Amino acid sequence: MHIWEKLFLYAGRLLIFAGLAFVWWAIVALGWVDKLFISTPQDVAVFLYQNFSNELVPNMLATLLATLIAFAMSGIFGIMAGLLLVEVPLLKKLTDPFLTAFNSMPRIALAPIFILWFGIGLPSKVALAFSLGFFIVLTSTFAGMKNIDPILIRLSRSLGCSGWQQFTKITLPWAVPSVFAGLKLALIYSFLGVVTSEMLASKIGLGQLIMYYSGILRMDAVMGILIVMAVVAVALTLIADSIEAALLGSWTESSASTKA
Amino acid sequence: MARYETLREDELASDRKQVVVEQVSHSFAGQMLAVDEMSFTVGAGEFVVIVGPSGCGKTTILNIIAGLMRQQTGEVIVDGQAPRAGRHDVAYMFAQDALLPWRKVIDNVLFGVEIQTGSRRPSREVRENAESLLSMVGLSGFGDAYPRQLSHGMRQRVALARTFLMPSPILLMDEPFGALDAHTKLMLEQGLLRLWDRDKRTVLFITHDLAEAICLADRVLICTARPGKIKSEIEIDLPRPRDINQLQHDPKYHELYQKIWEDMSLEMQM
Repeated sequence: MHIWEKLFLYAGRLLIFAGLAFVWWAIVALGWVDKLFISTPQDVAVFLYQNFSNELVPNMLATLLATLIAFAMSGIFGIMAGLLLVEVPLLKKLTDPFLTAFNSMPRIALAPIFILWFGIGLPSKVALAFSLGFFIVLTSTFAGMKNIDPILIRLSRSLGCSGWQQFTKITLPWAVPSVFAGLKLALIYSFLGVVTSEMLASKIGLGQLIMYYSGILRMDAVMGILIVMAVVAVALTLIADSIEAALLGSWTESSASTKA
Repeated sequence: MARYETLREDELASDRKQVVVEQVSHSFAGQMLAVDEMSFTVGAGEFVVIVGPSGCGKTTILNIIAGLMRQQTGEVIVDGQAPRAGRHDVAYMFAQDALLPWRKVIDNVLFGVEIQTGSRRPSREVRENAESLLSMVGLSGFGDAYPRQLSHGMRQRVALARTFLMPSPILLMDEPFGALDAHTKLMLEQGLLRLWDRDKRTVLFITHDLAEAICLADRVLICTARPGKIKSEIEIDLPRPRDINQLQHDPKYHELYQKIWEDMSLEMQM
């Protein structure tokens, strides 16, 4: 029963994909939309096939590398900053307006500054992506540690937990699902930040590739690269999901449906 | 200090008083009194139940005894000392189970002892004790389950086992079975009586359920509605060990029930 359900799902998804490709093909074939604007599925397939190893893979790896570096930095610094703000409420109060201001700023506006500072290489991409990911991880870490069930704090106090015991045995494990949710989001946003930075100025990367091909009106290439990006994003999400499930499968579900 | 001396004399005179509450009043910021000059004592090894309507400051008084908050006036002495949160000789059980969702049942049972001893690795003896407590509350075989896999009543039983695993001689219980259905409640009350009969600790138990109070207590204190004050006290001289199902057929039980009920309904007319 279970396996059939799965099989049905995959078949259904494949069918939707094929259906979309067919519609795409049909509207060009019927002459409703000019091929110049959206290319055709077969041209895109040919492009992907011919340029896969010599062009797409190296650019994809460059984008991925920058994404992973930015993600790792967001994770490490975001969690540390979140912990710091929870442990030092005064610091939280002092910095709150600045954090809010910086976080609500359209980050793409910072890209030219980062390019000026770090040049058109890896560091400027990482900087833009980090400026997105950092705040996501910071916020989710902070929220996770703040939302502890008050009854657990009461338990901790009545048992006489030391500050360190309360932190390691209650606060930290309590915040884990929320931190993970933030990390997953930060991963996708790091990817987004890197591609954005590449589109503005870069020597290599999927974003740079898209700008180049759209400049010379090669829609088959643009569509092909978009598909590659979508696949990368889905793959990143799936990997993050399975890591999360492996690490905290035992209690993530309960946090989603905490009973009163 | 002087007060302490007089208490020691009292101890010699009568049974040892483990919890002494004298003339304690407490009001919450700007509101009317929650607790009004409450006085009572609990002797060593005695099972005392406070019954009263909701909002009579029962939880407040328990929080004060547990050292989680400080009374505004009056005096509280727990085993010869002022209350302090985290004392190893006092264990506190709440109306909510307060289980850690990321810990298995057995590790939740061990949690209290783990904090008290400061060691993550319990001795073999403690572990065996934990297992036997789990089976006493009817949860043998559930040690490796996670709290989310258990029903409400089962989780509260885990909390009961966690409380009893701590060697603390004084137990404070704040409506621990208040949120459970009637059947589960009876089972847990019987379980609590079994555990108490085993090592006769000092228990101060709070409830709004009169039947529960009579089944469990050596002595029932009746608390008035806000502001909370002890109105009367009744000795429950039903023989022990008690079987809750048997008690239902005991005329003495119904007599006591009637008596306390009348006391309480007088209170409600006010």
